[in-house]
Amino acid sequence: MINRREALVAIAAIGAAAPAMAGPIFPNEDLRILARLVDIIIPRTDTPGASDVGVHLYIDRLAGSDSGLRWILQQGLAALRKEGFLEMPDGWQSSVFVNGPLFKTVKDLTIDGYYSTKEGLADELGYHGNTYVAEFEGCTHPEHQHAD
Amino acid sequence: MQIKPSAEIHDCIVIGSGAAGGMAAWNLTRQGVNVLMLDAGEKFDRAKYWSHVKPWEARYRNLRGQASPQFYVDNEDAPYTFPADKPFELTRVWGRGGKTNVWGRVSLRYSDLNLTEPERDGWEIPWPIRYRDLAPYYDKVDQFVGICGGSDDSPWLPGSRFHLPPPRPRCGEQLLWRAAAKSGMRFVAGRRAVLTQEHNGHPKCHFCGACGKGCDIGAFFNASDYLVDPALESGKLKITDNAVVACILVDDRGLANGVQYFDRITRAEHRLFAKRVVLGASCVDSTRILLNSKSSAYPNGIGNSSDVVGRYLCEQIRCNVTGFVPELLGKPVQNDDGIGGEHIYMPRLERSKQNYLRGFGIQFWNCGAHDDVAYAKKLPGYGAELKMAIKDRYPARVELHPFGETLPRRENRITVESTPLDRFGVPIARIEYSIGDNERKMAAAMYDTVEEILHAAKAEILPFDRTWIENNGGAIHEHGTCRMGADPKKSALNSFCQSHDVKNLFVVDGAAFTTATEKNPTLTILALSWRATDYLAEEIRAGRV
Repeated sequence: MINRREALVAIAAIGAAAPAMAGPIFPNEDLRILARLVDIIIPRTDTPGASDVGVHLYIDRLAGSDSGLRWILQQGLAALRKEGFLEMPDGWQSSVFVNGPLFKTVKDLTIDGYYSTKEGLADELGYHGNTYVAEFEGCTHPEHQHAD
Repeated sequence: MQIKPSAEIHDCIVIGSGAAGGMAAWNLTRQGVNVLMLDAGEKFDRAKYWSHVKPWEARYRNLRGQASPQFYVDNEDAPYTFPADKPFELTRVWGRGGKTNVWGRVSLRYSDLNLTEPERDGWEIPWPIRYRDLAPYYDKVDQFVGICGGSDDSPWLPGSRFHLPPPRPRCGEQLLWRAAAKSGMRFVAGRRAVLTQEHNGHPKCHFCGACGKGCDIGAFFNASDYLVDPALESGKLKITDNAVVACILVDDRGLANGVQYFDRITRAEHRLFAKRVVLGASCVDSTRILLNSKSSAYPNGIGNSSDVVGRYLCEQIRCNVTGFVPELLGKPVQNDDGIGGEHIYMPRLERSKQNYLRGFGIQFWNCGAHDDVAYAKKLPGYGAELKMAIKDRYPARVELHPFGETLPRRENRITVESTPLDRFGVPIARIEYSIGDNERKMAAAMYDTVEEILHAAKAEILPFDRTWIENNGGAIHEHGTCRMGADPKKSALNSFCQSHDVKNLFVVDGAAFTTATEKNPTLTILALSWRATDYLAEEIRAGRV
């Protein structure tokens, strides 16, 4: 649900000043697993997929400043690593991930991460707001107009 | 700590620089009264706003360790408390203009039906004023500030002859309006304090939709540019920054004669003296100041012989539901930013068989393309199918946000007794607030009405929880803790926001409201503060205060 203050501060809330960028939190193999997971949520189609625009690195950075999230991801990624996730066939990977404990967390973070990039928000969805407009046209479709 | 007394006796001290204090200072100074304004923060630097920083650019800036301007008070810096089982989310902005820097800008006139409703339903006291008292001030505020809106006029929502042209509705708003009308529900153009044309020297909105990040050109009303700056130009206003007021001082006749404050940066204690004090620090902080102003004359806080100060806190209840209108699914995306927030409004409905007191109106946020795509998390599935479902729905989104009145209750109160001390050694406010059965019944009706509208529009409805009500405090509309009324035994202020007990003390913010109503309060705060300070200026000229 939308909190009023969050809505008011909108984008400013994406990240309070993050600590200076250090290297990734997760080891290489876990990052590769995470990249695969975010692509299962938002795959490359005729537009970029989640890992193409670095959503796995975005999540890694969030985990760097959120110990609860870091713990959840560390546990989940380690379990997938031990199961040999990266060697599984694609369909198998999807089924293991989607039915596993990380799905909802990674799905939500992937949506946040992907649709706050230029590729996700502007190129994929077509958002071209937050810009100077001389006159706001609004709805000009005759078929949408209300009666009064 | 060294106390810094000041021998000067000011004509008038105004505490707060937002809609309430800003209006008081502007209106008093233009009538020749010298004002010292105490602001708990500083002026915000518009050049540093992130108004035009795109979401993806904001991410990179955050990565580099940069932060957007922080408008909101850090609760560590200015703490308050609440019982563990009754959380209350208090949102405050300290600094020039207060919350008007980032407010929602919805500007709805209260009607006689609002002001007299307690007379009709018997719940608590009615307002001591009628629409005829407020109307001239609403007219003046509309003309001065610039409120866009339609030409509609109805019993629950009185019209204005001074509205600026309203922006055209977005597609989703048009479709909801049309669908609701078929079901007998009446929508009107939204009324917002956004300039759809140049007005009184303030520039026209450029429709970038980033109002919540602070407007880089001041195209919506904020008290700093519209009130405080002109008052400074009069030469009659002085401002002290970072002055966190602890209490109002009293002389041996029981009159207010100054304030004690602490410097937010140096922590030094100061005492200032004045002939009149106008309090506009926002509902909760003003109440904290009043209750902490204890003396032998006023053992339970200044102006509180009625024991109503701190009581009858009322917020508003909120919920929201998201839907997708079929006509827009998969259609080309438009720039739907407009004036930021809704271009339409559904005024309160008269319902014949409602099982609760008071009522609600409905606002509409984020209709159409927006930079917030959180709805996607509630869509099922994953993969290319999910990606397409998100994209198809993107232009079709509508969000319905009802705001409802909560009843004033004696036990919903702010206290400062036995609360922890802040870093200046001043007792902090404790907020004890809960909603009741009436509000839960109203919320059920809100959901029913919202569903009715969405069904009429044949919209897909995103799954929602009917028991969900926004956290208390979440509407950011606190009222009632120093209410005005005709009977001094049941109210703290008269209809001019003047303390019944202390004739040179005025409280001009949301605390003065007798009821919350279903409407956003800022327009009425401006009208009441203007009216109160017209009266105060006249009383000063007549030598009565």
